[in-house]
Amino acid sequence: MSEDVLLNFSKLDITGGARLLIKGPSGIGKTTLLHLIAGLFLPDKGEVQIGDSILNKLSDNERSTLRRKSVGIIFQKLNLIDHLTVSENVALPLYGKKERESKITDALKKVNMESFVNESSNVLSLGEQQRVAVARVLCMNPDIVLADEPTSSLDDINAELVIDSLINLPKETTLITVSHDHRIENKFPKVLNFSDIK
Amino acid sequence: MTPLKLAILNLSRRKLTTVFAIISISVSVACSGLLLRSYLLSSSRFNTLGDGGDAIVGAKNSGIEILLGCLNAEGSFPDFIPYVLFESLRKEQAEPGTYASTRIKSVIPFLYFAKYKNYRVAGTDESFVKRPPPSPDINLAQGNWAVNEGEIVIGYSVAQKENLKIDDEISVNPWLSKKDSTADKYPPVKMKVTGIFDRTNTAWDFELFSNVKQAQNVYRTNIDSARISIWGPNILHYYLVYLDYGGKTPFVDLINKRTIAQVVFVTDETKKLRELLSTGKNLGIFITSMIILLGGLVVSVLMITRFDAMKIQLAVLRAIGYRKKEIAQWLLWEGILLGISACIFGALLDIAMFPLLKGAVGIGLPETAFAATSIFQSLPIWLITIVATCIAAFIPFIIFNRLDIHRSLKGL
Repeated sequence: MSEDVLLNFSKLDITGGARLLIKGPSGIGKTTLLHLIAGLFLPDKGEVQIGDSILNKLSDNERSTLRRKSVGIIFQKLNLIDHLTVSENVALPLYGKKERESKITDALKKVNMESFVNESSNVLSLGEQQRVAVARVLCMNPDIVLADEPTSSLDDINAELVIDSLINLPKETTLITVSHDHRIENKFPKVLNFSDIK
Repeated sequence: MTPLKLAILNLSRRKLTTVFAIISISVSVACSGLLLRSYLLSSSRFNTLGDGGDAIVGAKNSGIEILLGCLNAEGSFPDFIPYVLFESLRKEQAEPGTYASTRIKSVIPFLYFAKYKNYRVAGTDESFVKRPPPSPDINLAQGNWAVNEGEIVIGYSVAQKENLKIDDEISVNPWLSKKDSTADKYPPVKMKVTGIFDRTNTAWDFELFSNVKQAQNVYRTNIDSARISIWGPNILHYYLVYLDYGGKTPFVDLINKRTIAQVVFVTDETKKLRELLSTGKNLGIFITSMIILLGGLVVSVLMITRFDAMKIQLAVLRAIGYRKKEIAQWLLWEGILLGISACIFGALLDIAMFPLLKGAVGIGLPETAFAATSIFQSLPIWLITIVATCIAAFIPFIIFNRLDIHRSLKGL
């Protein structure tokens, strides 16, 4: 693989409703793979397909719409808008959606952050920020959840809480998690080594 | 979350930078508004100048000051000229074969002597009303000219604003020297309204008029003759002259023989004033443009700095489904909200500063009593400011448009 090539693989099929953990050492391209699936950038060769939508053929706006409707992303860090409160951060993807308040409250409850609802996000610890980011995805109720090291900043109790809330997403929701956190491996029915994909 | 809500939250949660941006733009708006309103007020002189014939004779002073002092009730208390100067010209007018009888159509005396509230009261005579053809007369809407002492004729706007009618009795406060700023150090003079002028749409509408004898008597009664002038109370401030064809040059020669007086020609001085204002206008437009540009740059710098620091957060928003259009709307709303807030504060500053500016400029600006000025004259500045802040808000969008979400999120 040359220096400019971020990822190089022939085919990766993930079935709907899967609970997939992709593990591998740091710097191998796990985050890049998630960004590729989310359509945050397009491959130089080949294509990315989500359901019937081929991301390569969609415009930037259409890819944004697809992400808003169907893809929830939990980033490893720098997840929140720092001048917004916890509830405002969770509400970010709920553009025009009804029952905002109950969705926000339910999602925060699932990650044990309901008491932080009006806190400014810049006073939260990294672990708390991570849980708010998970809540933001939970309240979206997306078809696909892409989680990038969702437990990296969490202690054991909160790591279990977060990973359980993700695993317990509706069964039709596809969960793709990339992580090198051994604590969560046993929660996933399917674990792939990144090197196996390549 | 809607772009408007994002904009409101971003502005309200980052109070310090928002407040500084609003202050900077408000000051720009206020300065530009003050410049524009001053210019408009200054220009309004041409609409309010009374009909002063062809020439005005007054004490030696700048031509524009004589013009505005006499025809627009502006400036400080003017210096005197001897009444005899006017009298001799009038006498000469009556003698057949003289220059004055053939070349001068009318001579009108004019002497300020009191104030009624903030309106000036002048002594003149019936020639002020009956103008030589083809100039239109100043008609009385009601009543008669103030022939006798104790009688007064009032301008249309004074009657309207002060709700005065024929036969009303009013008290005027003598205004007899440069030092009489408050005009209340002499006993007031009671006068009976005998006439109300038709509307002229000039400064005359905001003045009151009596006869010269009455005016000179107020001087005689209230000040020791020696203190008024070397001519005692036999004085005038100006006289207005209507000249016949070819009368201009000999009239200048005639007046210039007397070193105490000066003749100014209404058309020439009005032209000079227009030229002066035109220079002021160009300079004003240039300075206003610079000020607004400065305000726009402040917004740009603020937003570029703010959004540069939020690059990763913007990438997060894009990643969770925000379209470029929505980010642009967010920025646009910030520009609009900053612009509107700055315009509101700028307008308040403009309202507060305008009287101070008028005071500082002094006779540079006409009295607002008859030259109307309104804060809404600054409306074009407000619109330009809102457009400028919106344009300024789009500069960070151009930078953001090139944002690579994947690389930003990875911190590359």
